[in-house]
Amino acid sequence: MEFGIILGLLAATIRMTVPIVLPAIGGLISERSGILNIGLEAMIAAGAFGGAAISLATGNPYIGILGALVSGIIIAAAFSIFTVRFGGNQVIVGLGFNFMLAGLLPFLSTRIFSYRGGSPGVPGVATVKMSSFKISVFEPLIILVPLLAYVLLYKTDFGYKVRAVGREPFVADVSGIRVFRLKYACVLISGALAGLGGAYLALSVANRYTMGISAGKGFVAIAAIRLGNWKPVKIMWASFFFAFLYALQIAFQGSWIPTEFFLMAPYLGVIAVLGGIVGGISPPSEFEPYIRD
Amino acid sequence: MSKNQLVEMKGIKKRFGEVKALKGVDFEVGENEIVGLVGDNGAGKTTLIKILTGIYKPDAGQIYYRGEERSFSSPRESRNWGIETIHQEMALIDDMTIKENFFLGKTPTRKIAGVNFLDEDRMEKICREALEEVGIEFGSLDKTVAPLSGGERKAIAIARSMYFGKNLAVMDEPTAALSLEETQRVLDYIKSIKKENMSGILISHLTRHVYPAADRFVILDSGRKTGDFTKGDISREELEKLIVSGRMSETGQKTDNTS
Repeated sequence: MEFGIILGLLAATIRMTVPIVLPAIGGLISERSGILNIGLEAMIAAGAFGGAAISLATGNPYIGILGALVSGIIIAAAFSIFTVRFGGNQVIVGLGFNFMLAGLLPFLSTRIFSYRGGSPGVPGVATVKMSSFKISVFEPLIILVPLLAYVLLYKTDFGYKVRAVGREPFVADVSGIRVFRLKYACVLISGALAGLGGAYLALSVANRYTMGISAGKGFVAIAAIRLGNWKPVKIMWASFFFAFLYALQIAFQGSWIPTEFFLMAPYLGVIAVLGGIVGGISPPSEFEPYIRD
Repeated sequence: MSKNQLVEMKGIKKRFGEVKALKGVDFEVGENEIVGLVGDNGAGKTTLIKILTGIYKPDAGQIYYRGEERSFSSPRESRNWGIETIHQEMALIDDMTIKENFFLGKTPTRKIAGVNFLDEDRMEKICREALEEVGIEFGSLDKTVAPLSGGERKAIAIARSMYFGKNLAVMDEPTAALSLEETQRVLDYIKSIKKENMSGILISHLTRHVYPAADRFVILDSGRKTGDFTKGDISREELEKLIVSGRMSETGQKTDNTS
């Protein structure tokens, strides 16, 4: 009995980790290049929508995953034009994108799915069930993506330049590093990973797109980046922590503690981190727009 | 002296909003020549150099490099032409390591499965040798540069410029905020530039540093070239006087304008 609860909690934690850690690692790469991607939430939602639409259209959820990646990248490309090219305020542009998508997706949903609130059921990815656990192609990414991000940032020429650009864009520029090109690349990577997080929600958890499917995961991801002190593996653990707070509500359903308390828990955690009570204190960048001339 | 010119800048103009930083400046550097670019603060020295090294685009004027017109539209481009710059704003990144700073933008890599991985062993070896060349040693090159002194940082920048520089070394106030010993090391480096068959541009407002090191002196004042002398034609005292007189005439102008 007790053991069952623990297993259930663990399974729920893993399930909730995927849509947090993927956007978080994406956001990390973007932030390392000096672009604070507040628009992760929009990119997750776009990924979920695009993934569901393509999966429905093709009948193949794996092509749907590709569709989710592309959807995330499209939103990220638009975001990067405002933040990298025109040097707009990253927080305001990011929030703008979140609001824009909150309006755009119901519109597109009405057009494509003939229903404002979401899609019908769509083909989801194959899963293997083991007691409380449900494993698909997504779950291994929880570990794989942070490890790849670590290698990318610390072992490759690309990552080394990204770190330089985020920290001192002028110094990087005078050293001959292509500052703008790298920033674009990093923002697009963040869009792809956020889109992948959205794909998981639409093609593995729900097997449909519903309005509000991202439910603040983009902001939780931003908090996980801070709590993980901008380090890929630490961000993975931070994502586990937030996912655990989400999982608590499932495990404690029907107990004497009000469910609402557990619904609040992840967001209280986010406020604690973003408010600076816990978590990293040394961002790898000033997040100021870089203008050469 | 009719030498081959390495760099020729002609009629360079640059304005920042209302401020005319450069009002049509001609500037040349010969092959194997060290030019001292002198003038008071705000004369336009750094702006001129930032145009040469691709950071700013000039509003007007041409740049010729080895006789051919070039645009130098990015720092990357000028670096690829063998121009290395030690900028006044210390060109090091605090929370990156000594090694990483040394190779900034030009890292030795190994390609594995199409991905360029950092070649740590080669980085370590080259960096250590280059630092030894300028007479400085660090226990570990994997420590960040944040706690290093101004002189140690400058040494890294100089070692980098020595290693990567092929044709022209540009130094913007390289002796600023250095101890006597560190200053001497910088001046020694400038001498070694000539031995390597390179050219150099030395920017400073301290004639006691520029005068012994340079072959020729170009004086800028309020965005104009007001003098161009080979060392034989001018004494250090006269040079100092010209820089100061520029300063005087400027303050004179200011009182004229206000009256």
